[in-house]
Amino acid sequence: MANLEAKTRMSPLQLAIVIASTMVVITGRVTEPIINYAGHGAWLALLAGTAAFYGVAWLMIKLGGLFPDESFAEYLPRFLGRWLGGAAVWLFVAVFFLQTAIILQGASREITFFMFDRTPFEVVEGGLLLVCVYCCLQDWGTILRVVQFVFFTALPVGLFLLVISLVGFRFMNFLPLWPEDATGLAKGALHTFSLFQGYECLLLLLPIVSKGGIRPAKTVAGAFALSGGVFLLGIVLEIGVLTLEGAKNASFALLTIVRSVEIPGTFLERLDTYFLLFWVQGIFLSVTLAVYFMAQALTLLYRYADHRPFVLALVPPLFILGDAAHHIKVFEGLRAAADWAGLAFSLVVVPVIFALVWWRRRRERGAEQARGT
Amino acid sequence: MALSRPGGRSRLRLAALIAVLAAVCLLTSGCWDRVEIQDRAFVLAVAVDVAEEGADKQPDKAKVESFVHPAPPDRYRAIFQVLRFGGAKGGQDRPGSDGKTFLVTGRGPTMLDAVRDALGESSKGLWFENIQAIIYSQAVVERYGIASLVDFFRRDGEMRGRAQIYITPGEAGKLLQIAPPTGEPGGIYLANVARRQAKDINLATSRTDIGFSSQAIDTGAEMAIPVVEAVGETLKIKGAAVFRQDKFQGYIDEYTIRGVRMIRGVERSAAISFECPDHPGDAVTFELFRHQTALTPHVEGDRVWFEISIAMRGNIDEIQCGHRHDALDAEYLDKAQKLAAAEVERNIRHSLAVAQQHGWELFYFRQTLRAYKPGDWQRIKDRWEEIYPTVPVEVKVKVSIINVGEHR
Repeated sequence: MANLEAKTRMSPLQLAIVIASTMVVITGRVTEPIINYAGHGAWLALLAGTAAFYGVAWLMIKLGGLFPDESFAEYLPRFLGRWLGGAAVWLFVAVFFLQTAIILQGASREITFFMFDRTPFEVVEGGLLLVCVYCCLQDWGTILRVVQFVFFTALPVGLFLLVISLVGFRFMNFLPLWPEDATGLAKGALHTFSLFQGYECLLLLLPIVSKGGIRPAKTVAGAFALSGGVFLLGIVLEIGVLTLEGAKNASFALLTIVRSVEIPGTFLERLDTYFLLFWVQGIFLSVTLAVYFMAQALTLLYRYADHRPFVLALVPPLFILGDAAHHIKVFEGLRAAADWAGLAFSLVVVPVIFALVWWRRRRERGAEQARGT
Repeated sequence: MALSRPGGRSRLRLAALIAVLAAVCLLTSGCWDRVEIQDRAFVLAVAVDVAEEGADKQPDKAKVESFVHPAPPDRYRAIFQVLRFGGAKGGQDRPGSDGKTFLVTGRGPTMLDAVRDALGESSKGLWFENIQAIIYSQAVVERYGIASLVDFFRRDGEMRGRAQIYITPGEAGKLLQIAPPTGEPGGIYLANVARRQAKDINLATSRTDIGFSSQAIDTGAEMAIPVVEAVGETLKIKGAAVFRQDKFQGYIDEYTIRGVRMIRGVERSAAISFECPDHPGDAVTFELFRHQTALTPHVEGDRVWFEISIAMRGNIDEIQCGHRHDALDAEYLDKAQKLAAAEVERNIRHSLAVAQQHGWELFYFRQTLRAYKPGDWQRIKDRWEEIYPTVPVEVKVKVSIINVGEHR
């Protein structure tokens, strides 16, 4: 039985692994809006998105630095008031909730299509959720060890398969390098949010990151560089192998690319199954961490001692929403809602809170100085 | 007690872990809707003809091959070549059976309908994960276009992108009844012959599989799909069928294919023969090992032209009048290099002439312009159809002979 009374700590490097683990999953069609808007400039949109969302992450780290031993679910209600602070925490939960429902639906759709086409989505989705929830019911130390294990065993395999897929890359497909439409590039950069979503957990994890040694800002930059690199490789492959038009039309672009690699005459003739195995583990990490973060945020907000009741409470609505998105229109709508909710949290709520805290602290310092003089 | 000794508990844990892993192995040796390998009918090749093919000669057979579809009308007659497993007995005298494979046939308004019709004569489910080759008859691609025929193979999750496509001028189904001389199943034979394109520049099987055809359809690029023909019991890949905007246009011969591949820079080897200047009628063959090909677009105002620059390296592989030459003579080698380069240029100019005369853009000119001159491309893309047939092309070829073989 997990010791939930134990104080849990993690190193800044472990923080980076967790951040990267929440991000390094590409479900089918997630890069489609980036490619649709930015065209051949998708790689540039991705780099801009990486920099922009790291900027938000940096703000989160700075915000955490202003409240060293508290998570945002603890200081926001005190700072913004019970209702406004609570609403910000609920928006955080909603962002993870919507994205997790999309990941569950997207993953079950992809798994059933390629592996068990007679199996209902619900069975795959339920099974996946069950495994993730079982992991979530452990204490953070155990979850962290599972995350590290899967991260170091699955990611290299996935990267290896992606690198092998470069055999189909044709530079001419990837050209021209520079986009002509700056608006499309900006829209594409905004839509990279779906790839990076998950880094908001910084607000929750910063208080348990050990102080001293390498700074979280640096390790989180490493996590963004790693994830951005993987996504960049994905987008370069999608356009360079499938052509821009082909990438727009492919429902499961990365898997199509990996499927197109054949090594005749060997037992590894087709690589897509191996890629799916890596990818399912990535899904497991994303869903597990997302469910834990939602439950933990609510635990801290309502001052419970144990996150597990919230994990169990989240399962039925997650399953229902994930399953309801089996209709492509609902799925697209849900994806748009998740993106806008996430963007609102990252680009509006976080900067506004940071500005407010900074402004209030400055005013307080000014008042103290005035009193001192 | 053993369990209380230091390390005893960890040994117990290790044993428990091994037991759990062993149990996991037992439970995960197959997926839950697993079908044993011998219970699957692995399709190695598919031949697609128009639905009425053979119906006039064997109306009863045609009736059996199809389920009733009131509407829409049947379009395709699909013949599936299925792998026969070693232990399977009987049915060897069935038409099209060569001992290693057997054929099942279905008709339908779509390919999947044809597959489902074929299941009526197969006790095992058709399984396409190992499909190697797809043959379309000229009649079916002329009538329905290549895009609608490729759709099933690029959409269905079981298919493989590297399955090779062929066109045949006659009935496609008949080709699957021919047993290859190597003893391989027909589909595997056709896929392996396609791979010989690396050695043989005459084969149009480079970048013409389902994956590349799908890309060409998406980008609106012309395609040159290899042709397979049967003469008696011999199957031969020969020439290519050209498609433009999904529609069948006509055929190009092997000499044209050579030039197309040289301009695209997709050849990996080639035998380039030219006439000996000193002994008319005797041929000399240069074998290409490496090349560097650059296609450069130039746009000056409204004038568009291309430059093809090819540097080739290889050996003299054969001299028909060799006993009358010293192949290591510097003057002879210099002459041979120039003659080989001239032959390459002649070949390229021939292919350019054929393609430009018909308006078939087989050389990536459009893609090159879009990639390297995007601004100019935006300006001229609407007029490209009228520009292309007369676009000037400058050809520069340099051949370096690096070896003359084991005999001077």
